[in-house]
This record gives sequence, structure tokens and C-alpha cells, in this order.
Amino acid sequence: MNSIPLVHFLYLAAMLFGVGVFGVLARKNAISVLMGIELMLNAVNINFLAFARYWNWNSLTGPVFVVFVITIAAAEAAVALAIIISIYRHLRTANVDDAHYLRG
Amino acid sequence: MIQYQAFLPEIWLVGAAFLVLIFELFYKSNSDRGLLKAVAVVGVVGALLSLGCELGCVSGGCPVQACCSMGTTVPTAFGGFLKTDALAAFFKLIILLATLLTLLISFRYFKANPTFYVAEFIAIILFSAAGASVLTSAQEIITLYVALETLTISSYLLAAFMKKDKSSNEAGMKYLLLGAFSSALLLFGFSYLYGFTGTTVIADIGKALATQVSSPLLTLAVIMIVAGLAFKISLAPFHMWTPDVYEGSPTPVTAFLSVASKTAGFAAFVRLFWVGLSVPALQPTWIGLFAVLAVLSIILGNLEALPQRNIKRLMAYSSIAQAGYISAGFLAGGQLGLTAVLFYLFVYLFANMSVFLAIAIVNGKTGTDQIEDYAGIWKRSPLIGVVLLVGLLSLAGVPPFAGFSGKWYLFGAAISKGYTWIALVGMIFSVVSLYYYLQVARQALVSEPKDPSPIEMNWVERAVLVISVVFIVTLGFWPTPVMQMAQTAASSLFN
Repeated sequence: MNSIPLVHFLYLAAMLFGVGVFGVLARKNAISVLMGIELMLNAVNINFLAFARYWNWNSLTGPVFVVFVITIAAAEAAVALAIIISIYRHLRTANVDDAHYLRG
Repeated sequence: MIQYQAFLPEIWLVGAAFLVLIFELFYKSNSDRGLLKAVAVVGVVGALLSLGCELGCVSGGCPVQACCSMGTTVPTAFGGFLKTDALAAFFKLIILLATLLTLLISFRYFKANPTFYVAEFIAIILFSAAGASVLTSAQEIITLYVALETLTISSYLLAAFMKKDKSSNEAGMKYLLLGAFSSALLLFGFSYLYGFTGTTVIADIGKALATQVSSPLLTLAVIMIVAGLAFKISLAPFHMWTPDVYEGSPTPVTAFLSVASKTAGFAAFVRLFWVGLSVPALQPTWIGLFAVLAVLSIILGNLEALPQRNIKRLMAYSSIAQAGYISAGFLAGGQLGLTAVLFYLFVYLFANMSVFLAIAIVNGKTGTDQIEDYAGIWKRSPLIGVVLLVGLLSLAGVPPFAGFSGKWYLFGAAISKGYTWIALVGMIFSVVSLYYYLQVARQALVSEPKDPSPIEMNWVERAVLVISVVFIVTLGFWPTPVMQMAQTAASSLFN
């Protein structure tokens, strides 16, 4: 059968994950950091679907995992935005570096 | 057939949480919500009872035969995805007791820091306890991930709960961003694990990996899983969030994170690594990683605790060091090491929780967490003085107390597997830790109080503090009953 080999998906996912990690580490704005985390989770989803097709499309384990990851990512984003809004009210900024009230 | 006994404690917790949320609707905004507190406590106690009943049935020692509808089989549910064996039950016991004490601490905390959202707080505590509790019996990585996220997403909310308070907000945000990042790392590791084995059941992953040779990608997956979970139990160098989050969060949340969340993290570690990844191709890698993490945690945690002035921050660094000690037993593994881990977690529960209850009571009176304001606490409330002395000395591992026997077993297990150097580092830095623990005790017992007014507490708090102290002292002299339970629990992992 003429289909895209598994390793291409893995490269794509690894690159996406790398971009996400870079976003988390390099960005100062909390929303941008959150976007980086979402990219990392999407890379995970690509991995799971690629592996699911490679192993056995009928077992559904991979796709089910992806559905859970998407659901939990949505819950996480809701909580994250609520907390970021709450901190924005105090500091008038969503910049991670400006939150340095706690220090040893 | 689903054997609901496998998740009966969680049903109690989630049921109580929903009842609390429903009853809240009938309260006027400024009433004291006594019923809600009662419902929450009943929920946790019910969960503890159902757990005890199930344990009794499995071991054949339950006096009420009517509740043992399924004889002595270990309850499993959802096609084996949840299995409440003795190991899971032991972890659940620690988590449920920690939840109960957290509720108690939160009642005291909200007396001093009134909020309109008591019901939401209680419900979220119960939900996150349910997540932690499911996590301990998860036999499969999807279940494990969902349970872990139930626990951590609830914890983000709890850390940021006092939304008028700048430091609580900041704690929530830091915890959230680093926690979500570590979850993503963990998931990426899981995805490769699934790719290598084609299954998500932990025991099958172990079977599939047994014949595999080690490859760079598999090693990468293991490193990511270790890193992702090490964030959750705050092992150095993944501990950066811990001091800020522990200091900024409300005191009951700090107590919950330091015991329940950490216990759940170790439960995931034990299941995942000693069942799934305990194969010749991988074991040297992750044991080496853990050795480095454990030693780093012990050294950094203890050294950074030395200059601390805030007691919650001090407890944060102390908990990093404690995670390091426990990891020493974990990486030794086998019957001996895991028994030591379980026993130490049990001791750690009482020591840490009683100290945090004392912190909440003092904070309710004085409104501060600075160590210099603990001057002469002994004269203001003798019981709190005793609790601080006994709890902190037990955490340091001083002989007559339970922490000593706990550390004895942990380091003994490490030495028996040839990790003498880790045990040596642990012992040396236990001596270092005495300095900062005794610093607090010295303030509390020797200095003169600035304000000699007595600190009041109600009878429940007094009873809990006395029981904790009695437990810590008794377990030091006579660890046998808990050790036997821990042994049964650890051996259930291997058969």
C-alpha cells in the first residue's frame, strides 16, 4: 500500500514538540507559554494517532487516549485562563517575570 | 462485571463533593456552612470505612461477612484498568487520612481568612483526593494520566484559591505553568512507550519491553516520564516551583500538596517503574537517573532550607529533601525498598500534617508564618510546642521518633542493594537538617514570647494533635503493625 511511513509522523511530532518547548521556555507572556504547552500536547496527539495506525487501527487505544488528552487540555486551558485573568487584575500584566512577590 | 468495590472510596468522595455543592445553593452568603463541613467529613470517613472493609474482606479478616459479597478476590473494574490491591489500599489510606486532616486545617484556616467560597474549596479538595485515590489503583496509563490530571488541575485551582491575595495568585500561576509543562513531557514519554509496545496496560508494557534491546528513543521516553513525574513529587532539579507554591498557597493546600499529592506521585512511580519498566534494557537507566535525582534533592533541599525565615517555605525545602530520602528507598526497590517507602510515607503523613495543623492554628492567632514570630509558642500553647518539637524531630530522623525507624528502613534498603553512597549522603544531610528543624523548635521552646496571650484551639484539633504525637512516638518504638501492613502491600505488587 502506498502510504506515508510512520517515521514522517514522528519527525513532525518531534518538531512540533520542540517548537512547543521553545515557546514555554522563551516566551514571557503567560498566554504564550500556554500556547506552547498546547503545541506540546498536539505533538503527543500526532504521535498517538501515528502509532495507533502503525499497530492496529481497530484497537482504538490510541484514538481514545487522544480524546482524553484533548478533553484534559481543554479543562487545563479553562483553569489556566481563569488564573491568568485573576493575576492580571492584580498586576495589570500577564507577564510571568513580573510575578515575583514570592521570593526566598 | 464491574466490581464496584474497586472504586468505592472514590464514590464516597465524589458523592460527598456533589452533595456539598448542592447544599451550598441553600445557604445565605454569610452563614457558617456547618452542614457542608459535616458532609465532607462524612464522605472521607465513609471512604476510609469502605476501604477498611475491602481490605478486611481481601485478607479474610472482616468481622461483617455481609459486606464481603465477593469473598477474598481482589476487586477489579473496567476490564482490569482499576485494581485495588493491598498496595493501592495502603496508598489510599495515606491519601484519605491526609484529606481528612486537610479538611480540618481548612476549617481553621477559613475561620481566620473568611471567604464566600468554602463549599467550592471543600468540593475541589474532595475531587482532587478522588483523583489521587484512583491514581493509586490505575493499572493502565490512560487511567493513570486522567487520574493524575484530576489531581493536579484541582490543585492548581486550590493553590490560587484566595483570589484577593497576590501571593496565592502567583503560586497558582507558577504551579499551573510548570505543572502543565511537566504533564506534557510525561505524555510525550507515554506516547513513545505506547509506540514501542502497542499497549497501554502497564503489566503488558513490561512483558512487551522484556525482550527489547535498549534504544535511544526508548531511553528518551523513560527520561521524559521520570522528569514529568519528578515535577509532581518535587525532586531536584525539578523543584523550582515548590518553595513559591508552598509559601503562596493557603496553608491547607500546602499541607495537601506536601502529603497527598506526593503520595500519589510515588504511587504512580511504583506502579509504572517497578511493574512496567522493570526490564533489563531500561532498569539501569532509570535507577541511575533516580540516584542522581535523590542525591540532588537531599543536598539542595537541605542546604536551601537553612537560611529560610518563613516556616511554610522551610517546610517546602524540607519536603524536597524528604522526597529525596523516599526516592532512595524507591530505587532500591524489591520487597525491602518498597516496604520502607510505604512505611516512611505513613510516618511522613503524621509528622507533616501535625506540623501544618500547628502552623494553621498559630497563623489563625498571629496572622504570620515567620519563624521569629514562633518565639515562646510553648508558653502560649504547650501542645503546639510539643507538636512542633516531635513532628520536626521526626522529620529530621532523631532516634526515639518514627522518622528514625523510617529512615533506618529506607537507608537499610538502599545499602542492601549496594547504594551505600546514597545512604551516606542521606545520613550526613539528615544531620544538617537538624539545624533548621531545631531552629524552629528553639524559637518555639526557648525564646520569650512577645505577646504572651494563649492560643486557643477546639477539642477536635487538640485530639488530632495529641493522636499524631502519640502515633509518631509509638511508631518509633513499635513499628511492627504498620510494617506488617506495608509488607503485605509491597508484596501484592510482585504476585
